[in-house]
Amino acid sequence: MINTITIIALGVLFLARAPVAFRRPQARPAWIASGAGIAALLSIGVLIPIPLADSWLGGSNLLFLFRTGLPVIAFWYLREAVAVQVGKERPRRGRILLWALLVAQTVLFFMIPNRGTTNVYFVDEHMIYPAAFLWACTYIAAIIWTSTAIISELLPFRGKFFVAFKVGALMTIIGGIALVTHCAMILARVIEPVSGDLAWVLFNVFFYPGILLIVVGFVAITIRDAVMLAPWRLRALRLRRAVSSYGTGNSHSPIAETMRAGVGFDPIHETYEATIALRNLQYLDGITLRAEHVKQLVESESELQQMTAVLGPVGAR
Amino acid sequence: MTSREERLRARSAAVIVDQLNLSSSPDWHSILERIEARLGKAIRLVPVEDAAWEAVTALLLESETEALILYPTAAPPIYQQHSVFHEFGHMLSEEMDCGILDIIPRDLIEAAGIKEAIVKSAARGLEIGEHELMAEAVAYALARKLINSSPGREGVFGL
Repeated sequence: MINTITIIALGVLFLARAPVAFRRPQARPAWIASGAGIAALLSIGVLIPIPLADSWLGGSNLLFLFRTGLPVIAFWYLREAVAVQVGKERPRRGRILLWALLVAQTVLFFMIPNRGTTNVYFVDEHMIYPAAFLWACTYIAAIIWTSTAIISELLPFRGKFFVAFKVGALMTIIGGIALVTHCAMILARVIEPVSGDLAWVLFNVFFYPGILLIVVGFVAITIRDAVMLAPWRLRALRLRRAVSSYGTGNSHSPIAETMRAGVGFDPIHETYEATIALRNLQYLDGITLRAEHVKQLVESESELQQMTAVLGPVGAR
Repeated sequence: MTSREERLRARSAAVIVDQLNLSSSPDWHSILERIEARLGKAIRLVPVEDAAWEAVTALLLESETEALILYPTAAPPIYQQHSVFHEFGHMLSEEMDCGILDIIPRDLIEAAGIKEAIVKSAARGLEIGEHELMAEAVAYALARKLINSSPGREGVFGL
């Protein structure tokens, strides 16, 4: 149930954020993370039964490799997104480490003996092999490292939207440690391969609910931004109407068109474009603007000014 | 609807601005400094309180060692900034012509205090040629950088 809710939420986010990810590079890491998160959830049997999904990959338990690789990709890009969110440069240079982790997982996975045909208990039953244990350790180490990095990035920030990320990441760390403990006990033959020991219970209690909490934080920030943009959509609409009301015959209107070509549907950019277009009519074409339009302009300029560290009196340095 | 030319122009402008290698959260001063470093000359901004040149919303005069951007203070600050960005666009896209010097009053140029011979000049608002449209596209690309870098506009998780 939790996983179904998570995958639906991620699916909505992935589709709704596709345009912004296309337009804005800083939006891409979180978008990639949501896409990888969806694929990761599909690989653990959410919506698509494991035997069916694995059969698409040849029926040799290869799905379990995707099950460990995709969450690492999702967490990796989530970490990048969080870094950008708190004002840092996107940490691209470490990307080689991501590839190294994925390659290590793949190599270790193919070193597991007797992989056999599709088996929903593949992980537990093969944990008696050192290669499988190392494969699980590589996976969990990557998750713990990225979760720790997320917490560390967000620690100085008190925003309520970040609490979900911090607590969610902490839960995945606890869940990850529990999973490694569970796997270590199987390897050491302390417990049976498929057993409901405490470590396994803790893994289930913390790991996936932790991921759900991170998704909740993600959704909350997206909704906050949508609410924040609502007044801008109204401003853009009003100003565009105002520009249109003066007709298109003015000589300088093509100048304003250049922005639309490069931007698209961002309401703040549209407000900026329409503001400049209206002022062009006034200053370049000598048109006297109507009082209601001047009022709208002044309000928009005031809002825009607060966003753009505007030139103002600093002109002469 | 936007024409193919407009899209290409906007894309070229975005490339020009990207080549400045601005930080993820640039401010007005960092843009100015990066352009100065890129062009290897100082940029002097000169506010002008003169209603007589309302039809021109910014004027660029460039010598070998410095660039002067004159802008009228009668316009709202956001429009002043945009007009200055437009002149940055001329400087960065290297598309200018000197026809403006025949139109602008000499006393205005002299009052700006430029010490060397003017090698390039441009003005926003007198004509709409490819040079003007390109400079304007760069101005919007710079404005986008500022808008996107403002607090709450990271767009990392938002729409």
